[in-house]
Amino acid sequence: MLISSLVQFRLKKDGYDTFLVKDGNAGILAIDQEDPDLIITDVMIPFKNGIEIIQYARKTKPNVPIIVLSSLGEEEQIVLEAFNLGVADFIPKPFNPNELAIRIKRILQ
Amino acid sequence: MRINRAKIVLFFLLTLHPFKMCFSQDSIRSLTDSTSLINFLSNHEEIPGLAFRLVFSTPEQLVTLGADSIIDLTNDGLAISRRFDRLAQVSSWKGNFASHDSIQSKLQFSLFEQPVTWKNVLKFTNSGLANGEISNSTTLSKNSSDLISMAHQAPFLSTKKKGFGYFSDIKIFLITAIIILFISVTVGMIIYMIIFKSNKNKTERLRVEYDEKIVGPLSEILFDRSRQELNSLSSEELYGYFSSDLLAKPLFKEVLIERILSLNKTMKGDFKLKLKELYKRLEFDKLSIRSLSSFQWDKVVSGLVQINEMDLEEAESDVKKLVNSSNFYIRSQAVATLLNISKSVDLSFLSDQNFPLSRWQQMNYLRIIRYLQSHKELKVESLFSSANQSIRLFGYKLVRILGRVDLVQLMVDRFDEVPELERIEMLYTFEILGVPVDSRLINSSLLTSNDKLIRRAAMAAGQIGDETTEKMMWKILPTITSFQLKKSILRSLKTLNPISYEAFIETNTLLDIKEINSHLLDPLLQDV
Repeated sequence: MLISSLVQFRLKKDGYDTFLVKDGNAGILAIDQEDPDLIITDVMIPFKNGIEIIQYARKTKPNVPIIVLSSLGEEEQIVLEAFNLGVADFIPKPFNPNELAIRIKRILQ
Repeated sequence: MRINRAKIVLFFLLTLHPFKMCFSQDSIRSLTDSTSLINFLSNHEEIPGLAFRLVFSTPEQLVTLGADSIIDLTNDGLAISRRFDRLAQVSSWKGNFASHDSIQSKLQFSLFEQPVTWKNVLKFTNSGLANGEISNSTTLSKNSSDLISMAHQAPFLSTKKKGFGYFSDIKIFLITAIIILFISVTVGMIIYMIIFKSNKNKTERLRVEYDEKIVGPLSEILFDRSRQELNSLSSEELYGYFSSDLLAKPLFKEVLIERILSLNKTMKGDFKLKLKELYKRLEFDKLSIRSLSSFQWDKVVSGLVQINEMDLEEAESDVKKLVNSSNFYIRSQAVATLLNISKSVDLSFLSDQNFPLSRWQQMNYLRIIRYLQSHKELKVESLFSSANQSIRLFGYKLVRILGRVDLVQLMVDRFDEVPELERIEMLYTFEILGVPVDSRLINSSLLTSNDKLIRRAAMAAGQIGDETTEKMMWKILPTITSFQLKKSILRSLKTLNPISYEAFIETNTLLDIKEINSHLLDPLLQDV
């Protein structure tokens, strides 16, 4: 949660309107209710994993870009699966929040 | 005999108390002699079973007195009166002859129509009194003055024992004690669980609360301040982010350290350096170094992890002291930390280890060393001279895995001096690296009695053997009985000289040789 809070802080500084959720179930609800322009998700999250979130987002919001933020070494197969589902970008941990901000800006442009 | 005695003692223990209670609850009048017996019987009502008669030695005189109707004559010339149920009746009847001094009589007792002595009657009466069959009351006139005098004679005895009467029964006492103990333990455990749970919940709640308090200031420091700014922050400015009150709380410091370490793992670049700077500015580095002298091994390991993650090079000398710790986790983490924070990684601290390296430790160190070899100079050769065999073996493995061909000659020079176990590891390294070495090393190994060494030499021969090796293998092949060893030798012979191998297979009729050949030619099995 600390990392997501830090990312949220960084994005708010850039003027983005952000919505932070704590687990997979809340993430699916937020996709329906918040109508996001961009989704940033980890792969390993409570209740529903990142792949389920991506699959759900692809069905309901096929045009919304998704960025996966995870560690490549630990979940290589899952990350490959995420790419196959059509995610916009993958940022491996450890990461630089400034780099993330630049990638978000590029994707939303 | 001993069992019987034990039974008696046990019976005594089990029955003593109830008897005591019976006696203590009744004020029993015990008769001790013939006088007290006669006095008691004279004043008592009829006692079932007990009867009295008078025996006369001069029956003729009784007849003249007209008493014959109540007297029977016995064969031995004695006269015996009729049966009386009460002693008082006897005395009264005897009064009829009081004026005749010549008439001699004697009192006879009978129990259930059998003549008995007074002693028998005494026992019978006492027994009846004790068990309540004979009443203690007498036929004395019960006017008020008599009752008072009787009361004076009979001392007061309480029908209930005072004090700890309930606990005088050992069985009841034990059962009560067990129940009290069980209840006490249960209540104690429940109270402990409630307190433990309550403390745990409180800690969890505080952790969440501190997490929320940490996010804001940490974000501001990481995103709003440059490294230089962070370095030049005054103490007042720093405590503006994290108040001194909060920093005085151990749990807050623990949570903050955990969060900084977690972010350090997740972030890279300038953010990582800022986190390290912040760690030192908050003086957590001193806490980490201080925890190395803790008596709790988990705190020491936590301190080592913190030093490792935060690259606290100033702690190197303190960490070195823990390399030979008797605790597996401490020495493993100490070596891993030293590998990371040492400026020059000569691995001498590893070669001085007294404890054997486990496979897990080797894997862990190898992971770090592989990462370090690109930017730090590693003196792997220092491991070869270690007094610890597992360290020397690890050194040979490092040469193989890191591809340090430059160290092969050093290993060759040591080959004849080391035990067979190390020779196996060396030969495997020579084979994998494919570096030509003196064929004498392989040939001498093929002639030993150690099957594992012969097999390793045979396998290496295929890669680094020469003609002398080939000749030696052809020579020893007929003497080999082990299928695995035969397969290794034939595989190497096939690599060294395919023509001779083909010729050998064509002329040989042994079944196992044919099977090995089929195995070696099978594209799926040849590398198995």
